Amino acid sequence: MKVRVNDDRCVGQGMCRLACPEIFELNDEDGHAYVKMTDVPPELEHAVDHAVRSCPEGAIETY
Amino acid sequence: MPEDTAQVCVTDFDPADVDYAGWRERFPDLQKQCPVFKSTGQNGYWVAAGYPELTEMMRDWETFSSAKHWEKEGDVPTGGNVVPPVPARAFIPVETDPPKWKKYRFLLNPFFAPKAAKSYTGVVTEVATALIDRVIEKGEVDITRDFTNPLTALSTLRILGINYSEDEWRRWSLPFHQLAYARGTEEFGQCLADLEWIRQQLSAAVDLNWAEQQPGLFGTLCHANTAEGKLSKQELIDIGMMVLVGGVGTTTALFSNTMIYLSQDLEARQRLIDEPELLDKAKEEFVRYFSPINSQARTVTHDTEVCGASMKAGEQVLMALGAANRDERVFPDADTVILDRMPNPHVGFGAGIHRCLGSFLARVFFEVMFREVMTRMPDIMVDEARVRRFPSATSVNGLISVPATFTPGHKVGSGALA
Repeated sequence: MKVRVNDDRCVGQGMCRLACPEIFELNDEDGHAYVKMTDVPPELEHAVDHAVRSCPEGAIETY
Repeated sequence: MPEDTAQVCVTDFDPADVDYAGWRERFPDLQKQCPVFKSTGQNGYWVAAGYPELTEMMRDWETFSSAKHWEKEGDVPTGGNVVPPVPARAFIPVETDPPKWKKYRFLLNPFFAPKAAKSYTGVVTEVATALIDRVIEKGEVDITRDFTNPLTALSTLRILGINYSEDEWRRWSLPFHQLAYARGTEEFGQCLADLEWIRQQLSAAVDLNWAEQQPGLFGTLCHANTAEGKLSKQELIDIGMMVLVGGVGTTTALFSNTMIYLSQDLEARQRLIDEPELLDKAKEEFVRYFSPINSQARTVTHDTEVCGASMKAGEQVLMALGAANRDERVFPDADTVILDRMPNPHVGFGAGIHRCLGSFLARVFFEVMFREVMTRMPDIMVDEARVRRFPSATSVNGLISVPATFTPGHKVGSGALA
């Protein structure tokens, strides 16, 4: 599983970092999210799924 | 949007003028029948109550505008965040649309991003300590009047770097609360007059900062360069008003509601004490469950159809955040507080480009309040029979008075506020 943040949708809700801080971080400019790594280790897949489903903007995409 | 919800309900239920009980009782059934419905109140307006419908509409700022139009006494107000529009200037940037929005929001974002918000922890803790010192020996406190209202007002003023005198803080705080609930009452005239007083104070603060820059966010903004040069005095005042209204009303409502809840659910309270790492998820759940900002309005810019509802340009839509946050299609057991709820895609901080600018600061405020109260007044209990809510729960799910008692303790400082 790979994951990315759709910058056109992200507004900095911050819920992805709460769901999976190992993968998601928020920047110091506007609180928008970015991924620290694109490849999701199997043990974090569940948490990344929570991040996807916790984003009101639908900005977290797995592929 | 799902086809099976394409059905338009018309109701005399008027969420733009409803108390807390009415909001909680009437919404769930309506929401199930119609995620988007029309209210015949206030000369007619739309209400988006379903979660997927509301989030999609709030993302579409080109169709659902936030822009507010009102310049001076005598003008008819249109647009903005409230149904019906209030005769007051726009709060910047929340009552603007791009491209204006972008100019202001990009300027403000770094000061409210996670790292900056965290850096205010010390200031907020100082204010919290002083406020608790003022009541700690008495064994009783009004959580809203003695703690959350002054804490948010004074912390926000300190962050802005605006001077206040110790006996003046209520004047800086009360009108923002009244703005949310005193519509149509005698109090509202006084509220608008007090808002004008705050504008005058901000105007004087601009002059002071232009003469010599003072420490704090407001001083920085007074000298900031945008693509169009420095901000005008009017823009600075409108921004200052927004930071104050955002900082003051919302976290107050969140923490006061949480303390009422934790005086009923003692098991939840014990869990939060035993498992402090739970607080990160729990505070998001409290934001969802209480939805301190219950609604935000938008104005339709061109004729459009949503869920079978034909909306005309110029009509207002109340985005019922509090209702969407209880939508069972998204939140199982929506009427139950689940401290570690996950996933939790709540829209307590709004959705789309106007996502609450201060959301990360609100989380810091809440953490400090919770930690200080639970450490120094661990057995605090709200006297629920004496709790007084805002008469209107439309825009802010707020409290006027939340009396509580606890075992008296000792001061750690002088309790000085200014």
